[in-house]
Amino acid sequence: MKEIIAIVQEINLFGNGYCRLKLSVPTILDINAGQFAMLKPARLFEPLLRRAMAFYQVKVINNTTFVDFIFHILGRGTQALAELRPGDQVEFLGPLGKSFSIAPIQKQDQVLRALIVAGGVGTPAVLILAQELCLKRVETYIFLGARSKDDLIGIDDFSLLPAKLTITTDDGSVGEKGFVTESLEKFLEMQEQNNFVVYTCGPEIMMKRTSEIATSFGLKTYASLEARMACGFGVCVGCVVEIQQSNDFSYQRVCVEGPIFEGSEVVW
Amino acid sequence: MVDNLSTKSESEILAIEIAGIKFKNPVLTASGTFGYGLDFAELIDLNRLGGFCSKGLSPKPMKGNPPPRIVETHGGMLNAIGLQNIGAKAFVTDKLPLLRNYNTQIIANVFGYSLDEYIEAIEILNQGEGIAAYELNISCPNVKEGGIVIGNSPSAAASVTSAVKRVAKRPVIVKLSPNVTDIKQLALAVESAGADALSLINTLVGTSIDIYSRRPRLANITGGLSGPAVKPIAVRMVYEVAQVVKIPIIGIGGIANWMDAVEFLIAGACAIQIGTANYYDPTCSIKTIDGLLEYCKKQNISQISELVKSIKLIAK
Repeated sequence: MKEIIAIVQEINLFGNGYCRLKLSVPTILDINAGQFAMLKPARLFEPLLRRAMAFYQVKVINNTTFVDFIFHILGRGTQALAELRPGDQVEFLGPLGKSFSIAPIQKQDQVLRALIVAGGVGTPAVLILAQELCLKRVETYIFLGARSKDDLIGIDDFSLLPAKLTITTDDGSVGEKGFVTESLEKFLEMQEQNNFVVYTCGPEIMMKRTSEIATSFGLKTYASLEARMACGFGVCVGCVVEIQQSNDFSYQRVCVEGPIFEGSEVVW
Repeated sequence: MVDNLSTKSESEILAIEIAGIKFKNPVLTASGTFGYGLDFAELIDLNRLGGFCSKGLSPKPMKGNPPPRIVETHGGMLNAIGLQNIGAKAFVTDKLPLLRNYNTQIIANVFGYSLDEYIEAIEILNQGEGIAAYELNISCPNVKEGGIVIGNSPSAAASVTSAVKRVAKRPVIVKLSPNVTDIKQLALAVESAGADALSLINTLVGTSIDIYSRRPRLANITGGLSGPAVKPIAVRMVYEVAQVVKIPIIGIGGIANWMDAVEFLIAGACAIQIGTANYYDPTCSIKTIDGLLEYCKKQNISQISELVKSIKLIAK
């Protein structure tokens, strides 16, 4: 975790109100799949709080880390970030949170396959994971869902991977028409062997449904949750999610204990 | 004759004392915004802080409120964490041994939903080595007295203060709620009940509603407002209380830089606590210490306590 000033390298608006932001961070950061940073334009008084953003892409060149984020411009915080220009300074705290673990795939005596289910603005959070799985030669299936073709994120980058990619849109403007979870269910029904580990990030309802489907096929799901955060490093305890533990529950922090939780333990 | 400030050390200029406790500078961090201290060790040098207040501790661990617990507002935020904490015992056994490695004053913030709970928590913390003082959060409802908020009633606040004073082995700072008609009455009541110092203000009760779903943005409906938006209220209350009490005051409320800190000192605070700013500017406390030192040197202030209650009222 580093508290540092980053510099805007590139910023592009695209699709239905999305923004891609590339920053250079003048240090070497060890960033893993699923982790995030807290961002805010430097010296900006309003809004007060930084915004939590999952890393989309990471590249270290010499002593600089280049990081990309993709977000939907929705409120004051994302609006302020979308108004940044190349050369502007950004307050950066990261990397934060736990990462996706591919250990569940590797630990088994049999080789498992990976299934990634992502939707909307949850999509950027799984690219690094997909890259890592492909690099480790894990057989990977990616299901990406969005409202319409203008809400699809990162198709160019996901297409480069040696993974089987399925795209769905609610309106059928590209890929299969319907919800990504419907395609997922059909896919799993057709499999002779359900030897998958499921990873998901997207709207809560989509992750909940993904987790339910996975459970019904006897599969484990790792979900990357989103929550409003004030600090991002555990002190405000504002971003909690209810986690089931045997007969009891606890509120766990999405920023520290998460953002990745086992789907079956989350009280959706 | 003015001292040559360039030869004076940071500690000579900034050191203060409250209720017999020596702080290397008047910059503390506020309860609930600094975890149990260790969470910040990766971000700042804890040894530089005057001190810090732990997250509110109850005799037993507490789960806290359901989410959503926070919402940002203009110039601030509302929180309804519900005092989720690890409990006084875990603080003593798991956190204190690590915290003792740092050279800063540790203030244990304590709350309870009845007199007995305050006493139980204090008795557990009395066993812990390395705590400099207790800070009482009296902004909780007393479940045994029909849910009246202790901090809203001078008599209830005084009885908690005197009960805690009887068992506490360390100085007791009472943290006052601003959600009262006249904070001076509360301050005077806990002062006569034996409080060693006061800290003020706690958060202001607020609500925020989503206009599309028409639902409150916090699951708890109401939450505590903090951040720069509350600062003028806090400065006013510190000023008012400083006019009537003799015990030291620690100012809290929207402090985000050294200038805010100076303002509180001038209004009557002997020290300050940084709260919400820790969230969005994690090194704020350190920058505030640096800024105070520079301000003192530039303003020829050889000891920061000279600033305390130095407000110049306009002559009629």
